[in-house]
Amino acid sequence: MGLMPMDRSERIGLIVSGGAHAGAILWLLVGGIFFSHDMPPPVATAEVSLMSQSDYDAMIAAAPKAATEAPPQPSLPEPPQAEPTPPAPEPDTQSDPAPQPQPEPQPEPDASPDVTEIAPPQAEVADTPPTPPTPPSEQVASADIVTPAPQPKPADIVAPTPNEAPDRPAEIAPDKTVEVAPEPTTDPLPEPQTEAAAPKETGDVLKTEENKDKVASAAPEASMRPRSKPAKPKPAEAAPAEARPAPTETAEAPAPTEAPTDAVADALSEALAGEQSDTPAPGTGTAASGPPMTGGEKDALVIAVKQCWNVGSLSTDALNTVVTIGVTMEPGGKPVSGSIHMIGFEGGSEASARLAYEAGRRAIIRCGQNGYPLPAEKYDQWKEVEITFDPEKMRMK
Amino acid sequence: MTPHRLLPHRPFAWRAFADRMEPGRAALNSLSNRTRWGRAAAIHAAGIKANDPREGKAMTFIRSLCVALALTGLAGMAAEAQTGPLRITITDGVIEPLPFAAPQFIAENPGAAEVAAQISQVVAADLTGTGLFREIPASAFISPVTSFEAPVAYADWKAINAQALITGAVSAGTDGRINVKFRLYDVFSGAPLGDGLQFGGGQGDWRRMAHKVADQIYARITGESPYFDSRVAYVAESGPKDQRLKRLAIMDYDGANVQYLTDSSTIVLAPRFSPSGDRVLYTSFETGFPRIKLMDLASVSSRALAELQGNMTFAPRFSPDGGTVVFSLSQDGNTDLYAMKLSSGATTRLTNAPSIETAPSFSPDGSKIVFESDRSGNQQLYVMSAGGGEATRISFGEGRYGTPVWSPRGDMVAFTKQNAGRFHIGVMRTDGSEERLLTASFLDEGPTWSPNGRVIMFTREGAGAAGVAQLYSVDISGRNLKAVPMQGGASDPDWSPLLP
Repeated sequence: MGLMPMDRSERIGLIVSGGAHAGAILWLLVGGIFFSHDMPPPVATAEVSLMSQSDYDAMIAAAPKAATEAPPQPSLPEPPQAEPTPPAPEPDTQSDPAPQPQPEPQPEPDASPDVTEIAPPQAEVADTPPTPPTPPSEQVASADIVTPAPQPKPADIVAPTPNEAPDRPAEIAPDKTVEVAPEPTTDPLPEPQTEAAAPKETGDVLKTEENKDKVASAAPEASMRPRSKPAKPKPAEAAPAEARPAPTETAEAPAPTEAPTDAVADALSEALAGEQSDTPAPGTGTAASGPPMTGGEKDALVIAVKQCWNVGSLSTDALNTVVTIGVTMEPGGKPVSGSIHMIGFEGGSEASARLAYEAGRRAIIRCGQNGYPLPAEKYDQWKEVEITFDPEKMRMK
Repeated sequence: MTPHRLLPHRPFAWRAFADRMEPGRAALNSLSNRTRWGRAAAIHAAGIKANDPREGKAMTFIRSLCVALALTGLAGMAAEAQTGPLRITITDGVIEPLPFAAPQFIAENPGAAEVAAQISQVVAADLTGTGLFREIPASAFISPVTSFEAPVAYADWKAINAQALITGAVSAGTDGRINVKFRLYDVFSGAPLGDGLQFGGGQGDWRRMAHKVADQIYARITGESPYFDSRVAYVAESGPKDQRLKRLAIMDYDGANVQYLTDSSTIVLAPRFSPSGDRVLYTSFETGFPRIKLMDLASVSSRALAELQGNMTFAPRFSPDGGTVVFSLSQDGNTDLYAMKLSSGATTRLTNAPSIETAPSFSPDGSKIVFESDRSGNQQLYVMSAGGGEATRISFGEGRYGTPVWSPRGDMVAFTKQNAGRFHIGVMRTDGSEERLLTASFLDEGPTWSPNGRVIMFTREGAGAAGVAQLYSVDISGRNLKAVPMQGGASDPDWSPLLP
């Protein structure tokens, strides 16, 4: 069938018809996205299961016969025994640890007052400015009537250079702390060899015309011998500790050494310590950052620190102060003592913030003596830690 | 022809629609043998699947957009998490005494050996007596301290968990004077905690010097103001309950250095220190009626505060500036509060009610007075302006409240409460909120605050004829309840301000 010539009216109709169809098609394709103005509310999806008539009949048969029947009442749990009324906090005078340093003979009540004994102290106790080498007694005597100020004056320093005394800085090095720690040390786990001895991956080398010979020659001609067993930690470090007289009161052992007695925590700590040699130096950019810290890993750090956060001796003002402390961690999980600093505080004076900071610093150092249980592969994420100590739950209610 | 050109699009569009309809159609086709439950479920499933294709595209677009945004946000969060420090928050710790080591102070000459040992004991006893510190016994020490100037072996003290280390030395001069010096170290920080300090005094003042040393240590570690170098005035009691002999006495806060200020010929009550600690107000029955007297501690001389013949005056208390005394005066069977200027003797009536108003106590700033009154029918606590006027009731718990004492910090009021046959010492905010009972016994009464407002001392008396009144102290946290070590009975304590 050949095409019939169209007159003008037919062409116009064709054009109109074509345009209308094209517009309709375009509207169908994209109009739903851009011009839809009355989107129905999203239909809630729900998982449904289809049930056959036989299944339904079986279920009905298994159902309780009378729907109105009261279901059996669950048995109530055994009520807790009434807690006896706590007795009044009667002080135990027998075991009273109250101090009676030197029980002095008390004067018998007599008929006349001890007039001669009640003269108030004439402020003999005086802050006397110390003279570093040998304070001459004349100076002290001359300061008898000086009323000591509540706060020590700078001149009251006993020795002008109290810090020069520690001539043995090595004794406060954290290494030594580890030596004398009474933590029963087991043999350290051998360092993981798999990483060091793993053969290089050659399969990813792209073979080209230029390097085809090199690639061929890069193949190991002989299997590599595994590396020797890593050396155990030097026993010489522990020797001085053994040579020292052991503390007679084992109960005085540091709390943190008892806290991580969990075998898993010990193994993790040792593993972390063993991997230190393989851990790149901080800041080189080669350390593996690993996946983000999990909540459990963060909680482990929180639990480890809070065991040593003792607020029992803090003032009531310090207990109203929230302090944030920053600390840099070693790859082994030990805090760098010199890096501990106060980032900020809220809710208290500077004096109370200082006390709160000192309590937090003690907690970080005490419980970090043996390293915190932190994942070594994520060192970049816990190299810098900010700990906020919020004593709200520890305040007197 | 034109429809033919359009046809290829139409089957595509309809096919897509038909494909989307297919699951619903299949589901609908299987309805014939379904139950009503199954049919409804199938219709619901078909309805879900048989949506308009426009909606499907829109939903796909929106979902893609949401996924892209979520991925972008997660990537940002991940990048941020990897760059910033690890942040954790600790909200609970432990409350336990802080262990400290206090090796015996070094005697720098032979004459100081005995007093060095005594001072060491008092310092340690002061600290442990607070309940906030625990002394590590010397038997646990790894390395002895042989010289005051010797370097500190921090590792050795860390090993025994000593968190604070106190070193000291005592020297005795030929003139009978002694010097005591000490240093305090934060062991785990490996640094001194404050500067070293030295005190000098006579041989007889070694206890005060020991208290001064302990005060410094306590203040540096806890942040609280100290209270060891302070005294307590009280009523020393002897004899059976029905013939009790009472004397005014004064002692160190720890029960040492007891000195009697009056004889036992007259009953005395309620000694109250002046803010400067050099005078004591008390109530004497010397004339057969209670009368307030003022004693100068330096001369141990007393005089009647107010010559109000025929009237009974009692329950006196100094104002914070020491220039005014507020007290109760019973006249014609009615008891009200009065204030007297010590300089002029001028008396001002503060209350005027038919009830009994007594036991007044100034706020530290001197602007208000808390007292007890039975104007509501039984004893309750009220606060009013120091110049008198309308009083506001602050106690609303069950039982009766009495003997209120304003805290030196100004934030709390200590009181005696009697309820259900038992007596309590308690504290509350000055507006009556946050009431806490710290003790409970057959008879607890008469609280007094330590100079720093951290400890409360009070009288506890046992039941029966053999019950003896004793002084007890308790931390405002309710911990560390203990008897003050002293011989004989004692009641009605009043804690002095910190000695200069």
